Formats: sequence, C-alpha cells, structure tokens
Amino acid sequence: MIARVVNLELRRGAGLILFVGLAAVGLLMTAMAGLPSDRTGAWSSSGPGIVSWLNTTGLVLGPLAAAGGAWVGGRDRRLGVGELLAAVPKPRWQRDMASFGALLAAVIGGLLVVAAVVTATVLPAITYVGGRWQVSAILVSLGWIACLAIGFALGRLVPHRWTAPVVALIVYLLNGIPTYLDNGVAQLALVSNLPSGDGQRLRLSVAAVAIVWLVGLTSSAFLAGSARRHHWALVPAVLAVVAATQLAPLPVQWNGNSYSATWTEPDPDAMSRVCSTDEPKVCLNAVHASLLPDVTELVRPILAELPPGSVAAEQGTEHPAERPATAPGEFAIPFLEGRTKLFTADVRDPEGLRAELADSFLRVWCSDQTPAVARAYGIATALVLGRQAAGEGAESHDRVTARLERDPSARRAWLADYLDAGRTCDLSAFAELVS
Amino acid sequence: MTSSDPRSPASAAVDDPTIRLSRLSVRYGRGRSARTALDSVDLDLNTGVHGLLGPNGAGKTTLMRVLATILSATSGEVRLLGRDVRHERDRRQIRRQLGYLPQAFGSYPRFTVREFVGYFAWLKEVPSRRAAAAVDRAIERVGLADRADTRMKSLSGGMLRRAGLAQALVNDPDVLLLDEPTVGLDPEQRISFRRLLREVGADTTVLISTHIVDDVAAICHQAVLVREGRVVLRTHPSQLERLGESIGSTQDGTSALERGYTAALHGRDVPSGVAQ
Repeated sequence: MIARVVNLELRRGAGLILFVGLAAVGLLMTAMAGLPSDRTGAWSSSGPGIVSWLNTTGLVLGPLAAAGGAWVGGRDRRLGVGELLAAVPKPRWQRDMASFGALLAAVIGGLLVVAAVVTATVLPAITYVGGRWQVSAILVSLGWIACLAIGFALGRLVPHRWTAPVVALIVYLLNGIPTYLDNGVAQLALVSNLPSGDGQRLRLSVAAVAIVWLVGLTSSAFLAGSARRHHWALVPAVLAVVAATQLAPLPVQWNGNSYSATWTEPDPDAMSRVCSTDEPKVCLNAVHASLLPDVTELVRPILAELPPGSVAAEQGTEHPAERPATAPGEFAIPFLEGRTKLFTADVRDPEGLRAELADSFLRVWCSDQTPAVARAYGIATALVLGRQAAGEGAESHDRVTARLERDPSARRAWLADYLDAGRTCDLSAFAELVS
Repeated sequence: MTSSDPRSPASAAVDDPTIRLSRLSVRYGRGRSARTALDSVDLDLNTGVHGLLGPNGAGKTTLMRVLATILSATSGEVRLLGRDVRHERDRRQIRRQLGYLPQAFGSYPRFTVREFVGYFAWLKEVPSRRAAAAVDRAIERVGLADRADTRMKSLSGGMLRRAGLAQALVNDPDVLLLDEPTVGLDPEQRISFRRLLREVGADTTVLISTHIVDDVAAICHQAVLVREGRVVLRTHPSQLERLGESIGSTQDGTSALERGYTAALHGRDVPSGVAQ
C-alpha cells in the first residue's frame, strides 16, 4: 500500500515535476558545459570525473530540490487539507515519509538520469574507474537529499506560496557564498563542495564525518518538520553539530588543482603508469589513460627532435609526486589535469599542450637566467615547435635558428648540447651555443 | 490491557453510548481575552442520525472538532466508542473508526476522485486487501462513480463536497461527523444525500452540524440545540415542529420547524424533549 501511495505522490504530487525539472536542468547544464569554449575543468574520463561533474551541478540542482521539498512540505496547509488530515489515524511522520519518499525518488532519479546521460556520452572514453567514486557519489547524493529535507521542513513550517523560491535562493546562497570565503565553513556546504582532483581520492575518515554531517542535518530537518514532538530533531541535530565542529576547522589547503589536501589523499591506482606500445614509449598516469593516443601523437614529433636518453630528467620537476614511474626509454607525461575536453577523451587546446610538453623538455632550471640562456631556450623552442608555434620572438628570425633548420643532424647535435648545458647550468656552453 | 482496565474497549459497558461528553468545556485564549466556546456540555449520543443546530458562534464547529479529536478539551471528558480521546493509543483507534467532513476543506487538485479517496483509505489505515473495494463503494455511495477518474480540480462545488463525504465514509466509520454537509448541494443531490445518511445512520452514529432545519427534520432522529456553548435542548425534530405549529402561522414565510427551532433556542418549552 505504501508503495502505491508513494507512486501516487510521485505522479500527482510534485515528484514527477521535480524529477523532470532536475533531469532537464542537469542535462542543460551538461550540454552548456560541453559546448566548445575555453572552459577549463578538472574533467578526467573516469568514474571520479563523472561524480565530480554531478557535484558541480549540485550548485543549481540542490536549490531546485530544496524548492521542490518546500513546495510539497507546505502543500497540505496551503491547500487547506490540514483539517481533514488532522482527524486521520496515520501519524504525520508516516504521511510525510510517503510524500518525502516520492520526492526522494524524484531527486535520486534526476541525479541518475544526469549521471546516466553523462556516462553514456563518455563511456567509450572511460579508462579509469576507481578513486573511491562510490564514496563521492554517496556524498553528492546526500547533499542533494539534505537540500530536499531542509526545503521540506521549511515548507512545512512556513507554508506560503513564496516559500519555495525563497528557500531555493537561500540554499543557493548558503552553498555558494562559503566557497568564496575561502575558509573552513565552505567545507560544510551541502552541495558542490566536494574536493576533486585527478589522482586524488577522498579520505575515508573525512568522508565518514561528512556523511554524519549530511545525514544528521537531513534527519534533523525532517524531524523538525514532521515529528509529532519537534524536540526529537535535537538528537540528529547534535550529531550534525558534532560532525560540523570536526569538519569546519579542517585546514583549507587549496593547492591550485581545486582540491583540499585535508579531504583527499593520493590515489595510487590512478597514478599508476599506462604506456603506449610503440617506441618511444610515452607513459601517462592511469587516470589520464584516455589521452594516451592524443598525447603520444603530440609528443613523438618533439621526441624525434631530441637525442634519445637526454630528456627524461627534465620532466615533471614541478610535481614529482604526480609523475608516473618510468623505466629507461620511457617518457612520462605528468600533470595533465584539466587537459581533457569536458565529457570527451580529447585533448583540450592541443597546440597549448604541445608547447607545454616541449617546454617541459626544454626549460632550463638554472638560477642564472642570462640573456644567452634565454636566447638558447628561444632557439630550442623554435627548432622543436617550429617558428610559428614558438612565436614571433627575435630567436625565430635568428640566423642560428635558420642555419640549424636547414641541417637536421646539426640541429640534433645542437639540441643535445643545449640539454647538456641545461643539466649542468654551464653558462659558457650557452654562450657558445648562441654565438 | 485487561477487561478491568477502564481504557479497555472490552470493559466499556455494552450500553455505553457511542459518544459521551461529560462536563466538556473548551476555552480559547488566556486571561482577559479568554472566550468560552463550550461550557460544561454533557451529551450522550448513540447509533442514529443527530442534528446539531444553533446560531453562528454557538460552539457547533468547536464541538465537532473536539469530537473529531482535532481539538483538545480544556476540561471535562470525551469518550468515543468507549475510549478516552486523551490517550494517544485510544485516539488512534478512535480515528480508525471515525469519519469527518469539516465545513471547509481543501483537496489535492491533481488527484482523481478515486486517488483522493484511496489516499484517505490509506491514511485511515483501511487494510490494503479491502481498500480498493472500500474506495469504490464509498465513491458509489456518494454518487460519483461516473466521476471516479475525474481530477478533483475539475469537480463542481457540490461534487467536491460529495468527494469529501466519500473520504469520510471510506473506512466504514462507526462515528460520522459532518459539518454543514449539504452546503452547495442542489436539491436532487440533497435528496440523495439524505437517503444516504438515513442508510448510514442505521448502524452508525452520525452527527450533522447544520443551519438547515429541513435537513434535520428529514433525516435526524434527534435534534441537539446549542446556544452560547451549552446544549439547551435535545428532542425529536417532530417536537420542534409541533412547537412551531403552536406559536405561529406560515404567513411570515417561515416553516413550523424554523419557528419551533427559534422558539426553543430562546427558551420556550418543547412539548416532550430532553432539555438540559
């Protein structure tokens, strides 16, 4: 019977409308994000990548769920059914469970539709399913459900027709503003606050506290609106407060890759090595395996210009921890986060990546950056990338560049000397190279 | 619970009235602004159709709400079906056997009549195995069978009222409380409604709060007159009619029943009533 009532609520209440609304807005956001643009993001063709996108949509869909909850929560009093309901034996919390259950099904359904469409779109490109994406998915779902429960309770307590839009706005602001405050409160946001990063996974201890926070808040909101004795809401509220006091003081360590180090830890599986089969072997972290064909295609022409065995040491010095372990003859390409076009396995801005890859091989890390060093770097870049790609610097028109372009064997010898000089920071060698 | 437990239904005397009010008082507000809506009301009602008559503000709706277990008494005792409404467990059991149609009620506009009544069957904890049949029967009894799949928002005022009555009947109640049930019904609907209530009243205690004395005359076994929070008279409607015949004529456009009602309300003796 309860299933029939939930079904009735879903069809005739706001459940179906909420489901369609969430799915439609979620898919619209997905479509908009997928449009060609300069948008950067932490997308990776992986399970965590999909969950990370669902987390992002929560900033809009969470308030929408809250509005749906508020609308249904205030429905009985708004429609004047309260007098009839007051005389029935079924306890209010059981009635509300049916209404809330229908909304819950709508929210989960909407979330699943967005997840399914995104997954189906990127399925051929998915190369890594790990990184505790299930834990992240639970937190994302609980965040949406918490928004729903808060809206439901507020709708019950303030049954006005304007309650739903006002609740949506409040939930949006409460979730959005803390993220700009750059302090611990941001970690209490219900939606769109999950840290994500390629090669990172949630720490279980922090995730457990976050789950207690969200479940406590949801239960507390539901009981405050629906329990016969409102003070029952205090029990889960205490749990939520305890969890909040654990989460909020956690240091916020934004490391430039959009995740907080206190919430995450390295994911060894994501950082394991995936290499091309042909020589020279190009290796990426497993989480970026979908980019291997494109990156290989970009990097091989660069490697072809460089003497074998002379480049490995120059790579990954900025983020050594993220660098795939390499064997001799393999070229590891690290830190490709944000390099995938959203919802595809294609490289975003391949020319930019080509330049960065060349730079990662050619950059000189000497403390003395003399004019000769800078000029040699410019010549090396122009030789590897071509004059046009290297830019319109003086080196592009350099007579040394022109001479080396005409002679491939001299060019390779020059680049070998350049890399040697870079490794040893031999300034006289640089001076000789540009003379 | 044993048979000696005063709360036990089994312990309730077989002759116990279905509704028993003892020195029931209800006051609204506090201090100087306090207003007494019901004042030491004693009333026993048994199976049959009873009409609650009284002027506006007499306390009829308050009494109905107390009997519907929505409003708590300030003092006194309310027993329905041998159970004390103050006890939560008893109250829930009473509500399972209670049908209530308030004077004004809302509905879910997107529900069909069948869904609306079915929803209330669930709320009234009608066993699921017989819920579908109970819903169909209730809808049929109020004459809405041909509108069972019509959405509530498409119903006229009279049909909406009948749908409300269907929800009140869906649990086959032992106590049926109807506040102004015939408002908005056309004459034909009113006739079929009266027929229905006579049928229901054969084995149910029905209390109708109304201004329409003709309804009381047509269907009620007993008229209960309320004034200023007190029950001033309990009598058979025919006695009111007799009183009306004895004190005036139809020349002023009033019926004998209306005159009798007005006279009784203002303290005129009724030939053979149970005045309180």
